[in-house]
Amino acid sequence: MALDERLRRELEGAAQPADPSGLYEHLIRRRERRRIAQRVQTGLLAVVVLVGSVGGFYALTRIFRETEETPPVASLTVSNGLIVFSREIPGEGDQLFATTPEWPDARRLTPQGRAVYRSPDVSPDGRRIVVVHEIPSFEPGLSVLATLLIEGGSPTWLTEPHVFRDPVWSPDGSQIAFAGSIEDPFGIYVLDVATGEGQPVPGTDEISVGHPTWSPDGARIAFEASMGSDTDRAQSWDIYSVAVEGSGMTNLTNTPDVSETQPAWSWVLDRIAFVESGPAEGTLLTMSSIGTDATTVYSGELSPANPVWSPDGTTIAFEGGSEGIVAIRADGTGLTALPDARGGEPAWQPLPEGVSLDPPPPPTASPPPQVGEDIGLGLRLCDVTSVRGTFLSAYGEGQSAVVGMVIKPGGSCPRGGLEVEGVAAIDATGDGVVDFASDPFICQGGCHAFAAPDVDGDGNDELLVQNVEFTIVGLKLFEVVPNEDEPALVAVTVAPPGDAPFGYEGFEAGEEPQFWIGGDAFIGDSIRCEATDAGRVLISMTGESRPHDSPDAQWFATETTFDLEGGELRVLDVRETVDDPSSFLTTGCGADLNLFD
Amino acid sequence: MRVDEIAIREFLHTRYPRLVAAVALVCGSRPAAEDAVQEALLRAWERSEKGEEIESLNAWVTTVSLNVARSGLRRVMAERRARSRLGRDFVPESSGDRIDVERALAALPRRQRETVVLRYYLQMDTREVAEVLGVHEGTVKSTLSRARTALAGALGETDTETEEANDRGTR
Repeated sequence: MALDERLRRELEGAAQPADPSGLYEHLIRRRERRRIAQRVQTGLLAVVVLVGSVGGFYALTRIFRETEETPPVASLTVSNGLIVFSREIPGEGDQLFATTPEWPDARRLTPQGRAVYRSPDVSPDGRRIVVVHEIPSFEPGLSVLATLLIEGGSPTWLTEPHVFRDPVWSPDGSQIAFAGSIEDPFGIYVLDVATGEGQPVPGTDEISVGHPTWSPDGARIAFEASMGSDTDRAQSWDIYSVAVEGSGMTNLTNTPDVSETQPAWSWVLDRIAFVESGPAEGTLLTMSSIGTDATTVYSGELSPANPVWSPDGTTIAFEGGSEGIVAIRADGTGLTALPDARGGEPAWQPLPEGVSLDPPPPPTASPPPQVGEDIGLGLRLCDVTSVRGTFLSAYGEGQSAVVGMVIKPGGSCPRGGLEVEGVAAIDATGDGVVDFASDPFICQGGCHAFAAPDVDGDGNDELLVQNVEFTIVGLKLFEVVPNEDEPALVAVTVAPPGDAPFGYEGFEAGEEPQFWIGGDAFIGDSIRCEATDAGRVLISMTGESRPHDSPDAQWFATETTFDLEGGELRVLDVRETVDDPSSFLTTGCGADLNLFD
Repeated sequence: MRVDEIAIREFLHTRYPRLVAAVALVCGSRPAAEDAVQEALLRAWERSEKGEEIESLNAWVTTVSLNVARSGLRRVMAERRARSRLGRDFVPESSGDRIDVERALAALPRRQRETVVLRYYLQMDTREVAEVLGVHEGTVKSTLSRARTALAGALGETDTETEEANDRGTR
């Protein structure tokens, strides 16, 4: 017991307890910085109006019964473009869909999984979509701007995680305006698509702002703004216009008693559609680009929101309550509901020649999580996720890896706990029943199949499992070992001597390595797989910008390179860099890896 | 439990000082430790506001602090080495006057160091250590055993009797 007592005594002496004085106030300030993301949301009357439209469905039913003799909108054809919109999918969050009036069903564009895609806007050439994209590992309120091909598929990140709202392409497709904060404060920013650099529009950071929209010549941006308090829901919003370099700020509406929000600038007509909200229900109007000639397009029970012009300027689509997206001619006639268009935030551009959306893109991975699923292990799992791959080439195609959290006897599905037991397994024959499984392992906060990269380039895929879901995402690597009697799925370990010869600790011999991905303005972690002269290697990168919040901050990063052989990762090299960590955005191993597929 | 102002203030005054000290012992950097614990506390606050149930704020923040510090450890080392290589001023946080136990602790593998600090400084039992580190209780006991052997050698002690051996009979 002498050793125990000595350890307690001397650790007590060595440790230096911290002083918590004033720390609560410090935490408040730190927290408030993160809450910038909610500023626009809390102030937007339109959001309140939209969410509050409980009676929308019945109202819509009445409206369309009354107008059922109205002929369909003539300009709503495939030749006039494709409408992309977001729809909330239970268990997954907002996903992107595309539709035309001629399609009976909307087509999903984003891969299945737990990543979120919001506020789409289609590029002027109709080939790309910019979205606000979130993955579960991001801090609350943070997101990236990402692009997808119009045919759908996986996102390409344009930015690091910051606060982003309402991105819109410039008329020449070279820039994207958005409301957000890539540095404090919140404002309207313009991002150069080629360089990824964002610049604030001067003057827009002193007021609450949102929903930018470009003028036809790309010289000006209109947006909604309020001079009032962020939290004062009774404040009035107006639509402003400003030159991109910040000159000529003009209030186009200037109405103290009602709010005008969500402007959408027609590049054909040079008119701005917007929503007016007052004590009564919302109204859809258009006005000239200098704020004159306001004309009502729709006023009724649909609570219009997020209007968008058709490419030819003849029609406006908008969110129409619980019925989803509806369209109306700019002269106020021909109100029409789009088929299978439950959702919101429509974007509308022509479908470019040579682009076909038929057949729709296949889902790339997991079925939705199910509770209490038996996958052939003799125990019940919940939140079962899977990823396809070829884990043992002898079994041929159609294999998948399955990961779930173990439900204890008499227990329920664990949620967000500190200690959850997970299990990974391989369905090698593709019959829906797993053929061999890993030993149970500990997950913290969640446990999901992540990806199936071929880390070592031997033709068999390895399995990455997300086993930590707290601050940044933690990954654990598994490999199938083809034993003589029966294959086994084993957690990869670090081969002796680990990274100690390089003067580091963190990848210790015999341990199952924990990889991290994710980050924010100050920290970044990633893994990637690369082909080298020595074969394929896995590279773990971790870095930090220090000192935080300082103009003198510099990125300090460490790259650790491994090769994988026989279930062990051998440290080949450790390299330190002080470079700009742009490679942190490479958050995977191979092009086949999509976050949370 | 609900993580609100009262819970946060109570945590700051009762748990925060020692937790920062513990994380600093593990990662060797006081600023990194403070940042990690504050970050964890902030996350707990935000998660609770979003409706997530946090059973034990202390366990939650301890786990997340160590996660943050664990990934941050390599960054701290990278910064030290880079600054040294660039010839910039850098004052190590611990001088050569470290007491024996601190030096011996620093020589342990990270997992053993975490286990020792949680067990002997934060005075958690092996079940609590297992929960915080996300490992099985048996792993904690075997890790502690290896750590004690190493520490006994470094400190010139004889490791004849362990509390973990006694734990097996009582817990």
